[in-house]
Amino acid sequence: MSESLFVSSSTALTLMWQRLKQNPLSFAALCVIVLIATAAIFAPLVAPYAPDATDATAALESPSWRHPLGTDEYGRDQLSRIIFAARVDLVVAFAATLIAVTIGGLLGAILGYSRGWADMVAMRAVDALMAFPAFVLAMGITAGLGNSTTNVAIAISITQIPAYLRLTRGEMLRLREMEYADAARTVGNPTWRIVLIHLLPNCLPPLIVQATLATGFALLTMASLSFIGLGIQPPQSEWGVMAAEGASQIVTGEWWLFLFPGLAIMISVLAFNLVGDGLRDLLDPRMRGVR
Amino acid sequence: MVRAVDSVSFDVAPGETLGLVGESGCGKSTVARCLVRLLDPTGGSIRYAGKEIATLDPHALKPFRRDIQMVFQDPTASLNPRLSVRSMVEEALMLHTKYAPKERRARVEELMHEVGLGRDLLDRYPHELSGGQRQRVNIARAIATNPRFVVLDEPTSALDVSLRSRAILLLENLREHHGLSYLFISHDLATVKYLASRVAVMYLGSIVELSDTRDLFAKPLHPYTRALLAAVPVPDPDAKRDDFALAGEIPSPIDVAPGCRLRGRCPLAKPVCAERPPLKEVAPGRFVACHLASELDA
Amino acid sequence: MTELLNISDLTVHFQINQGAIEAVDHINLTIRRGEVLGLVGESGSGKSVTSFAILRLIRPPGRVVSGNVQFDGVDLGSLTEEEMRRIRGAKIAMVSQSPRTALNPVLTVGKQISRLLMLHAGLSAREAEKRMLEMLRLVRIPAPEKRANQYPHQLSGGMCQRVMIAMALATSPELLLADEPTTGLDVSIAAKILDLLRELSARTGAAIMLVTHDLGVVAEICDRVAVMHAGQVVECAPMRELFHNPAHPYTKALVRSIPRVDRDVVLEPIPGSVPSLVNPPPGCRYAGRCEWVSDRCRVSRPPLVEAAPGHVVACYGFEEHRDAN
Repeated sequence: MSESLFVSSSTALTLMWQRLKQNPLSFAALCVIVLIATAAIFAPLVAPYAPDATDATAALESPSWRHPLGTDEYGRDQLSRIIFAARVDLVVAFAATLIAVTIGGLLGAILGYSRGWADMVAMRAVDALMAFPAFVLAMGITAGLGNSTTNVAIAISITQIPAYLRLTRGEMLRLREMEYADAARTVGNPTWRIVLIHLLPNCLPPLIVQATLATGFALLTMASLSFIGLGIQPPQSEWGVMAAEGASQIVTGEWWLFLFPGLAIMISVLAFNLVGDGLRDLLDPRMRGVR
Repeated sequence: MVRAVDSVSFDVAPGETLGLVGESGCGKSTVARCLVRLLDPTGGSIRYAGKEIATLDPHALKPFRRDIQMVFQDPTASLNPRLSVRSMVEEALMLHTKYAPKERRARVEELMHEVGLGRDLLDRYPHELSGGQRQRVNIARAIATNPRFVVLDEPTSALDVSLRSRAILLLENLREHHGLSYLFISHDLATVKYLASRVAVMYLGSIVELSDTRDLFAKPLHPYTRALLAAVPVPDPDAKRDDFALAGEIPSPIDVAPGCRLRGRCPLAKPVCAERPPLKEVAPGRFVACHLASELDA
Repeated sequence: MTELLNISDLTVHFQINQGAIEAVDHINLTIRRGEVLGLVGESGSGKSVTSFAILRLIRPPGRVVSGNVQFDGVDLGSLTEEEMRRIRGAKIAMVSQSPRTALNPVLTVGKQISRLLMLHAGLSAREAEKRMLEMLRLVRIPAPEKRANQYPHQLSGGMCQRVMIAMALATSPELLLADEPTTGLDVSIAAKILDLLRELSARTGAAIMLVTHDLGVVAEICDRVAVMHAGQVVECAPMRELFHNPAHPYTKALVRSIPRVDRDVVLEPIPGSVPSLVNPPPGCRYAGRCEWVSDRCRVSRPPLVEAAPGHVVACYGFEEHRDAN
């Protein structure tokens, strides 16, 4: 019955999509995300230059028609670097979110459904983890694991797992008492089917909202890690890395090197937050209105 | 600790409908949930076809799940909003039979036909159905594996008048065709009278009267049964009414006095009622838990 | 008895994407002083919408399309919102189906009633308190001094409904709109609430419009009955007359469709279902379910005609089938 799981969550998504279209701000934000993602996917076609193509004759040029966002000290085109950087930034943000949703959602569902001593222990651990500053935690993990792209994604996902775990567990505590959960037990479903097929899909709407908001936060965390030198390493193009490089040039007047990567971060994070807020508003009175 | 249900005993014969009536908080739903093992009874035994099932672990219970099913009270809350009608009805077959997918599909369509629903509804979701249709899906799910015994927990109380009568006829029809046994739980005495051949009346966790339906409605022996019957509004302005009523409201099961649980409210109470009356047979097949039953019968 | 409330030609529509739901369609009803009028029908028949329309509580997408409601000689449609507010609660009160949600969960029930008294009857705090306790006693709440200090969640469903009735009667209304007041209550509690309503109506002279789907409740306390189907009043008669000589096929079908405790019956569900009220066909809205249907029923709506003194029915076929029960 995996197909019914798929069908049902896709109806929830269609519904979200229909309602999102009625909220202009969130819809615009979604368009921005799609635009950035498309540019990232087709970066070689979209970007005017290669991201690492140096040009000693065009070093530190301010924005012009040839280089709309200017160039850096090696003459690399800022616009092209920002477009290519979107690949790293979005992939890491999405990957971190996906790992965190999957692990947090599954663990939360199991713990919430079983309500045993494991649940007690896990929830205290979650409390401890959440009391610890997320950014410091991410710093510690990357420092420990070494700063490859994969490790950055893992570090960020670990900081986010507790939020999903707590959310899913809370939903599960409510859902396990629903009459349809009883009906599923009476029909003779084994526990794993009740959790995975019957109840977990009903946790999806709040999880999707949380995931959307958290993707923006994951992106911000990664850029910050890179900014302080713990995340992605230069010369790879990444917004945080670029902003860090640009920051040192501000005093000498090359403002564009800091401003544009910073704007890219801000616009993406804002877009994710607006979409997430929009989804939350749509789902808040649960989806009862359409029943 | 609250004794929600206290020493309740009854049996249901093959092909029979036993009505279980009582007001909210009397423990009738708790009894239902114990029978399908959604709750584990603290003590006592539940035997199905001679085998003890009250203490079976979930694994050993599985074959019985096929034979013992339940229809829940709220047709909306008992359907999973994210599953299609097809997947809910098909699920029981998938879990309990070795049908090939094609046979399963054929059986699902047959079930839909049996409960009076069109095949076109199979790919709908619960929110796309009306209340009456939802309850039919619940019934289809419950009878999918050809169970022998179905617990019906107020299956008609959430339905509108015209839908209610159709659901009643459907249930009666299914019982006749498949030789089902029902435990029909309801606070609606008129429906119980229509469907059940015997009726058990519960008050504060105990059965106070158990009798053939005809006798019970013709002459209730327990004061509680009598008061319950007298309270049912009858759609006939000229009906002779019994104005027998109890004092006050149902007390909380936490603070019941010793002795007969109805003592504080019963207008007929006597000193002897300070002792708890056992459920005893006053006529063949007729059980009453009241010291005064023989006087009342006269 | 004189007329207290007169509804004429009332039509209420609810606008949805597919068109207008014609929830109440040109109905006429009168309620006389001191009587209990039952409004009966399946869900979707427009019973509750009618009572909301009386109180002018129809909110968008709902809209009163036509008709007027005269209360005590005053056209309620002509009043300002402020004047209407003074009528609601004071002269026309409402008791709803879900007493627990209708009560404020953070105020003790005593406070809720005395506030209402201070607001509508202009009593001082002390007088209001005294009158509040009288009201609780009137609706037979045991130990009213204790109960007054409790919050709604501490009371049973039956007690909450008594409190609702006490609130409704606190300002001595002339009309009480009771919307399924006993639905969801246990039988013995429901019976006591009905007794209470009947007795209070007799004592205070308030008229009651009782919205219900339960014919048993009707036989229990109503003086007259109006039967609604798909937004229209199809029959209206004194209660006994309605049970003895039902004229409309829907009324007859309704009686035959319920199991009863007082006799053995063969259940006959009402055929079909309530028709869609979005762009319903012209003619009788029961035509699609009716065993007597003729061509005429499908093209024009039967008017309410007198079948017996005080007994009106909207059916072209009833004369012909008068004795065929």
